[in-house]
Amino acid sequence: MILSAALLAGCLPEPREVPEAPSTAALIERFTAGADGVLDATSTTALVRGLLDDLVVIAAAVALVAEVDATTTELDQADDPGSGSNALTAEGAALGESRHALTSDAGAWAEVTHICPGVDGSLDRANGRLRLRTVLADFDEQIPAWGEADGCRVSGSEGPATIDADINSVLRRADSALYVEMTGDLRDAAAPLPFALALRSLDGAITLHRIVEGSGSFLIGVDRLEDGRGAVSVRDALGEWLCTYSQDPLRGTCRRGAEVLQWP
Amino acid sequence: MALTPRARGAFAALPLALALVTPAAAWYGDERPVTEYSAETLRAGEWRLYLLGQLEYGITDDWELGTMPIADLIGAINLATKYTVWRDDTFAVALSAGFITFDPSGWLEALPEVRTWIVPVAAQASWRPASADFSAHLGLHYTGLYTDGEIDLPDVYLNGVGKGGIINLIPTLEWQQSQSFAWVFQANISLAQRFVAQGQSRVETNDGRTTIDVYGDAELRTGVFEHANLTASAQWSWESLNLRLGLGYGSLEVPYAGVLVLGGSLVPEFNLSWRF
Repeated sequence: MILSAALLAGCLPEPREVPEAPSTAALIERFTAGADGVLDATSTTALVRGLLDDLVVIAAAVALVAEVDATTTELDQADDPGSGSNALTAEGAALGESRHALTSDAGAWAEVTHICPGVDGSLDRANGRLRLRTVLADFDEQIPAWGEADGCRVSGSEGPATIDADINSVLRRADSALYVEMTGDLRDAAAPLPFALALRSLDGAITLHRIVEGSGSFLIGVDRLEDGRGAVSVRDALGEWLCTYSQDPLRGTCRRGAEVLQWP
Repeated sequence: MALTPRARGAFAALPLALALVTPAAAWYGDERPVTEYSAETLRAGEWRLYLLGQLEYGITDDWELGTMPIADLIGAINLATKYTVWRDDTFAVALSAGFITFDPSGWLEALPEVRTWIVPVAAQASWRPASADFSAHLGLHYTGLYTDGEIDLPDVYLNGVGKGGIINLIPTLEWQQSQSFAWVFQANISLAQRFVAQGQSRVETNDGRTTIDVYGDAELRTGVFEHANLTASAQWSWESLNLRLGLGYGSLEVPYAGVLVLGGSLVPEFNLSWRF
């Protein structure tokens, strides 16, 4: 038996280690558990001021999330036998299935490299890249993808931006919602501008998870977040508000049914 | 399908009937011993041709070479050799080794380049007590497997490598009924099987903007006695014709690779060869 073990194990390579996906449970829960803050004049001012201060970062992040969404969708389609990406299906999905067919030592994972679109959407490696990894065998209910944006140049609503960031994301198959958290720097300013954001993309609508110190967490619909006069939807612990504001001077009104909240 | 009592009787009587009609020159003895599961080899200058095409030749009384010419002709180069390293009136010990290698792209250009090597080695021992009507044989077999290949298309690249090692123990009991007929009971017991495969693919989508690299690993191990089969055969060994008919139960064996898979299968055995 000792000889057997030597003959079998000595000549064969050990399997490569399947990368371990970071947990996304806490990320998803930030959005599904609901906000715990309560909107009032004080928290509203802090919330909107913070949003406007981070407007460039948020706009860039939203553009980057669109790229993450596209990249993850490519993986999802590649894993779907009914899709047109048969080449990956044949190799990747089969390997993914082999994880179950053989032993727990087997597995398959993928690394996706996506060239960022830059300002004009051109295919130019100088626009940086988005690199995400995923474990194919985890695709049953969701597609986790994690990695980094490396000098990724995107064109946000506030203009072009270049992002370096660590990214952790998960696409839930049940509702096609993409949850993304990213921590990194915006390069374009004189000094790198650090940021940490958590967003959800659902049917093209972006929701931002935001914590106001001393007030709790809020979920912000940023579709109409604009410089100057704009609007955001704010979900707090009690329901959803629609807040309109003017930036200079910073003031506005939030409405939820008959309730009206004016600030400052 | 249920056999009628008459058919069952005829089926049971068939080995006996064949034994009775065998010619007097039929053979189980030192001059032309059974070689398939024993430590014996073909004698010097002796040829053996199997129905499925395998050809063996005795270089000396202790050393034989074999190949499958049809496989060689289509590019699956193969060679097997066996050498009886020690023999006395009762015992014999032999070592054997071989290889088969093939690449389907050599058969058809449209097929991918996938190289495969199968290398079996074995040690066999035989015990035939003087004046006994039975003999016992034990073979310890190791088979090494290796395959690799790649496909390189404009937007898709695939490559993979697989390796395996299989160790089988094959005990055989031959119970001689006449000079030309014997019952043969053979077990094939897997002591260990291990396979490791690694693959990688690269797919470019989105007009080249997105590249997806997929990496896969798989490892399969089976333990001692996890796979085995047992075959009972009737074997006729006439002057030149050898016929073995039997029925096995247990794991299926992948031909040439020595791999035992599944279980609970009934497998008929048919082996026909000529020695000349």
